[in-house]
Amino acid sequence: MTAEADFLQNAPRNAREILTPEGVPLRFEVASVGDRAAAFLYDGSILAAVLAGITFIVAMTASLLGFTGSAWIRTIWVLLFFMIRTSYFIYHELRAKGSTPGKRRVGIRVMDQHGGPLRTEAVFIRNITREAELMIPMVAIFAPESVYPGAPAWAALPSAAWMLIFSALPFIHKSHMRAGDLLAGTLVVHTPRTILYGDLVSSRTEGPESDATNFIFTQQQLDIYGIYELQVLERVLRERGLPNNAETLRAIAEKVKLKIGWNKERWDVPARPFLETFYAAQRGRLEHKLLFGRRQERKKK
Amino acid sequence: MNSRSAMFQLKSYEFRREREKSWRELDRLLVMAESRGLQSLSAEELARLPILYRSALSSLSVARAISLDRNVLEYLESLAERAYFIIYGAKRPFLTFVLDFILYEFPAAVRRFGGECTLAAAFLLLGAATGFLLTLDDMDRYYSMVEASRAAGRDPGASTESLRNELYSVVEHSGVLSYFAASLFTHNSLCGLLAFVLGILGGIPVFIILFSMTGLELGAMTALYYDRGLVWDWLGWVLPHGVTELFAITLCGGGGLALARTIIWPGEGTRLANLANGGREAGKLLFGSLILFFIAGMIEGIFRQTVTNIYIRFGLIAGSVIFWFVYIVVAGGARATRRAGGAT
Repeated sequence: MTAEADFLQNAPRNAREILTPEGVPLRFEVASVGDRAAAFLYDGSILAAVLAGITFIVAMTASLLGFTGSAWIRTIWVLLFFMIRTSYFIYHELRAKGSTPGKRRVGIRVMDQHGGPLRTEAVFIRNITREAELMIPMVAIFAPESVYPGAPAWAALPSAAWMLIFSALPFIHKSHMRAGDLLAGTLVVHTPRTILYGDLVSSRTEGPESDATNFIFTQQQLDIYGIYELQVLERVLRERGLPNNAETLRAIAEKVKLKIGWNKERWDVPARPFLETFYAAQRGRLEHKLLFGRRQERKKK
Repeated sequence: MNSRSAMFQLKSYEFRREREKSWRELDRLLVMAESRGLQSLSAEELARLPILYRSALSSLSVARAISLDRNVLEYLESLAERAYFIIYGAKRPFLTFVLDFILYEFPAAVRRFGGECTLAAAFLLLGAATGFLLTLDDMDRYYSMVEASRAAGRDPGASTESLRNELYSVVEHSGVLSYFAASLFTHNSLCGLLAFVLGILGGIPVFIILFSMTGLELGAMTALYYDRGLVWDWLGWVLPHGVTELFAITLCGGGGLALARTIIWPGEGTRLANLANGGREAGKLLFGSLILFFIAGMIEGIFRQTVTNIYIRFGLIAGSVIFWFVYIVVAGGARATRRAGGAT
């Protein structure tokens, strides 16, 4: 895959190449900060609902048993709160191998950054440091002096600023790692799901070969375009049924005919069969060159 | 080139025809494993998974070399990635991990970072000693070392009688003190967490936190009670849970220093790689210390409010010290020698 080939996607991929233990590199798409934030919000609301439910149950039990106002209940509630908050993520990431309900919803998951197995210690450490990452900016914003109590006044502001940067790490880091990810050696990536379509080379309309659909291209004509153009054509051909597809095909057909110097006597040809045949021939030519190690990325000028 | 014959000359087309069946089979197994977990697969299917995964990887390598069909390339990449996630997920079941951690990993980690933890303890004691001496010298310094909200009325302005009463109050006053216990739990665990995480920034923030946030405060309050002749009562009140809690904070500080060390003296790898490795090891300290904070919180919330006999309190202090000492030094030691013996 080349950099140009990535333009075929709707948005530029932030890909990170990871070597699997088998020795084959896989290109994982790193999750953006927005995706991670969305997953976190989703998980957060589930968590909030669970905690609200527990608070309700505890309060009801307390009032039924006559314990209202007892500080015991409050103590238990605070400790329970903390435990559930911490263990929700850990439990899910361990059980579902790196994904939580929120992450599943957004389509991302956690993995080891070097392609090894996701270690349990890593799951623990990345989730526990989240407390620090959330608390530090809040404390730093609302009460910078209590982050370093007893520090001289001039140290309070830069230290608060430093810790805000620390918590803003996902925005700065190329692979959007937060502090927990750095410490645990993990990476959050998209879970891919691609459908296998038919091979375009074989899916052309069957039927008796007539002069109208029998297109022959010379080798010079097939040497003009490169891999990038081929794959753009592939994408357009696969988008059959989408609006404007027919017009796009016609426009492309005109450009191709001009570029390769198509026989003017046979100029008016139906766009789709022409381009399908051209695709098959072009791909055959480029793959043939590939086998000899000649990889032509883009068209010749 | 003839349009029909082109189809038969494409090696990529042939290649796909050969291999597509196994890709589809892997896809089917992955869909089952993803939606209902690995246990929904039969034994034969489970045995097929690694074979199909490796053949998908090999197909991907071949496709990258000979095929220009973008859909096939993307599909194989995503197939391999999905299979990779299923096969290389987290391995050990939760309960086994917890037991393993408590009995072996955690004590081993504490022993491994013994030097850093000792240094952290030294910071803490230095802070306590400083706070103690400075406050004894001038009682007004108390106010700058202990925040008003955490002092909760226990300051030089309070009478000796009220100070003594608070140390021995039982259930009637438990309202204030229990909530204090809960907030103490989260305040001190915040100290610990900060000390650990800020280890990334080097040793100085760790030093500051241990020295000033925890040490000075402890020293100052001890000085106050010493001044009023209540020092043994004070120690009997704070140390039953304090031993565990201070131990936990020391561990956090030790972990933070270990992190600092991985960055400042990275050894062979890059700093970030070293940090990741060190982070996982030192993280065991952090996680263990959270459990310790929890235990300390329980002791504080339950024990302190109900037991007021000073001898029992000191008994618990001695018990905690002995327990933690023995646990750290002894636990998992037998397994370590067994593993080493088994390896040779």
